[in-house]
Amino acid sequence: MNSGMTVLSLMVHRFKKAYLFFSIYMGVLVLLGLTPRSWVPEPLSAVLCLPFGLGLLMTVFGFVNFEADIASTASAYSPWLLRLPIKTRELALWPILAAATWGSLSWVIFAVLFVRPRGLDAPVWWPALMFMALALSMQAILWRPVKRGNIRLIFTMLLSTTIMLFGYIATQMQVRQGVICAIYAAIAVPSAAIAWWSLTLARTSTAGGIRSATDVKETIKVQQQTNFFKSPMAAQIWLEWRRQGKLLPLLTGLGFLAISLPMAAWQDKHIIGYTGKGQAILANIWLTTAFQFLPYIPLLFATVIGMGARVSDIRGTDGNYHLYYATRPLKSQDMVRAKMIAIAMGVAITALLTAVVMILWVSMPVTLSDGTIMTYFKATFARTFEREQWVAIAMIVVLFTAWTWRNQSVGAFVDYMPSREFAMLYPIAVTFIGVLAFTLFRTYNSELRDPKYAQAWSAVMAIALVIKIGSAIVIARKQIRLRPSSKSDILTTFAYWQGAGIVAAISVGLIVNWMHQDGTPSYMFHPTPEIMALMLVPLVRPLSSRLALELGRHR
Amino acid sequence: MAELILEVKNLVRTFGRRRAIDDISFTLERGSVLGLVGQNGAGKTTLIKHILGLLRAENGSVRVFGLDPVADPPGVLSRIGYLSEEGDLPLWMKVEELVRYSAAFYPGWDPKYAEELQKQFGLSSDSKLGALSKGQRARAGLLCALAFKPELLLLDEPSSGLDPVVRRDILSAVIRTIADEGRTVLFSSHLLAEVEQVSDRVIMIDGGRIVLNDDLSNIKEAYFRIDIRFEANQEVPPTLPGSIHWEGKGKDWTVIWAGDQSALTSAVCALKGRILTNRGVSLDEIFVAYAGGCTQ
Repeated sequence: MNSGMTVLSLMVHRFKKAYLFFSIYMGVLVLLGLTPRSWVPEPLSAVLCLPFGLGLLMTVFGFVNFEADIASTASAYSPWLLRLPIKTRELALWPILAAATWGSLSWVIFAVLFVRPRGLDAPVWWPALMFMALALSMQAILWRPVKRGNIRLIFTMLLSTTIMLFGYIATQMQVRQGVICAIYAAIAVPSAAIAWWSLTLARTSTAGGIRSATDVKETIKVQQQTNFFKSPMAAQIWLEWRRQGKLLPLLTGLGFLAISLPMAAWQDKHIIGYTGKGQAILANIWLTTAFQFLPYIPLLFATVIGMGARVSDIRGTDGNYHLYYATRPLKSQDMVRAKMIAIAMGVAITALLTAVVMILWVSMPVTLSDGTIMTYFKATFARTFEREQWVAIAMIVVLFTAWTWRNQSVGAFVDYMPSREFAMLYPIAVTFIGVLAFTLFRTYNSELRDPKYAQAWSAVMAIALVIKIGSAIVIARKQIRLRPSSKSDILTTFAYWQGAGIVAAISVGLIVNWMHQDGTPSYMFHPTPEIMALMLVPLVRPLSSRLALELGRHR
Repeated sequence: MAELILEVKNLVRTFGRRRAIDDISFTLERGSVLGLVGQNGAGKTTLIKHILGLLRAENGSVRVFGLDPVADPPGVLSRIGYLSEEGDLPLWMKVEELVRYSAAFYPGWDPKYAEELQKQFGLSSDSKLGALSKGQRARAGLLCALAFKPELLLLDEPSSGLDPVVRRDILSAVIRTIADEGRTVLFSSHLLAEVEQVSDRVIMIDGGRIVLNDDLSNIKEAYFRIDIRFEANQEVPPTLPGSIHWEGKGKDWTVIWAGDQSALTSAVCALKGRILTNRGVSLDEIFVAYAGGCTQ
């Protein structure tokens, strides 16, 4: 076996379980693709497609040799591989070829041998090239040592999102498939060259590369120590703000920037309605299309962060707590509290940012057919909205903010989990369950809206709620057994859940009621939405985060 | 009697089927310097993690300053200065941030002393910990462990893999801490010459058990390295009460031996041998004797 193949086999070996499971999964899909369509119901086919994206990304990232935190300055290429007496050509070429082939070929097999035989429509070539471009561009960025890790984090997220969204948006805009493929190829080829160059830099550079630890020379600057924190809690909140809190406003700000840019380039206008005098209101297509997605951007990022997408630095590679964090003279419950406060600060800033951006967007000019210019707000919302609708909008804003906080704060659970494997499985499991629930709701949409099933839905939700409360009690009992002094903290958590749950249930109930009065058919009948709101207010995971911290910090 | 800083009673800890700590008991008095020695995997770090409250005692108990470190982490950890072999510091922090963050947890933090240490160690305030060498990171960790003048300084293999200059810094820090009245040090190390230099008591752990726990002066008085010549070839090491470790073959053997010197000569005569040389041993030789078994 040549050196390049050895490098490749080492990369595969590190994530051998992921490659094994993904290969088995693909094999099952290919076999199912050979069966008659009637054998596998359509919703099941849709559910079976869900693990593909995550599985493909995980296995492709195996060839990026993704060991380091994206936000670190070092190359993500394994340092010990960089030190081996192997030519850079061998270290670079084989992983580049493997990533490009694995990414594109997996999609082709998936689309041609499973999706299409199931009667679903799927493009073959541009997504294949998209995965190739994505894999190679990630190698190009992550193999390169950088001076500022945070900039790499932001750049990675923006570039990967752009690459993934570009194909979809381009097809919506009726761009020819050949052109999309050519653009992806134009990203992939230079990316491969840059990846190779990045690896050369990682082996020789002093900037965050393998030599940095010994070669860095600096002038010694000892500042007089001032601005100490007022209390241990204040210091811990600062730590959590730096670790997690600031990430959401930062990413959301960049997300808003990215979604606002096409407005400048895309000047097409369309009619969005008529004034009372019968004049057509002409608005930028991007303004009216993308506006509705703005509130979802923070929610999306909060969900991704909350799943533990960023590698936690609280655990070491062995899953044990880093000793410095674990030995802070602070109660575990205060550690959790500091994290929650930092996340709340981030969400509050994000909510403010979202409000400012939305106000800016609704202040954009639209044109009437007679040439009069007015703001988007005046032409639409101010003209058509009644008082009740404003109240409902305000409640939706509050609920969205609370939901954003919720989705990120459950991430504390992942952060504190003393097992690295569980932490890796958690986002996969949550995504799978979330999409499964969504698919089921979509499949049984008509039954949800049917009054004769209302009681059955309420009963199902009530059982789920009882299971949730039961699980919470089991976790709380274990926590109290391990640390009797945490009883009051546990009771406070239950009280918060109850309070927030009541507010959420009433708010959701009112919104559903309002939608019904508005003429919109109710999606669900009372008390199902109220019970669902109670379900969504986190209880089990906040309690689990306390238990995980207790078990991880005092094993 | 001096105040007890640390009291470990019948401590047991298993990982799977392996007993990492097997019924360990000892105490540490205020103002003393305890050297903890043992091979890799002997149980030193596991013991230190129990003292820090990072591991719960399966059986037995650990009391630090009279408190249970698991039940009251702030009460115990705020009085312990700790430096580990791994030097687990948050690598994203700058030195200045590390100092400010660490200072918040210790009411006794001395900014002037911290500044003095920072200058002495050559740590630039705006340096990121991730960009520092291993030795500089160890110095940053040492700064945080010392700047609040802890009542108990806990050093877990602090010099491991470091260059002699950093090792000297660590050692002089220990010596300076000892000089401060009432400070107590628990110093775990492979570098027995260092332990010998600063400790007034030594605990040696092997396979999770304490095999030696005594004052250094007593150890030096009680242990000897003896060269013996027997009349006939010996196929296996002879049985001699007090022997810990044999080396040699044929007629010439060397033994590390502990006990009363007056009983030694008659015991060797009974084995038809005679003592060629008899000298004191270093801690290093005792360590190898306990850890190494017999060498032929």
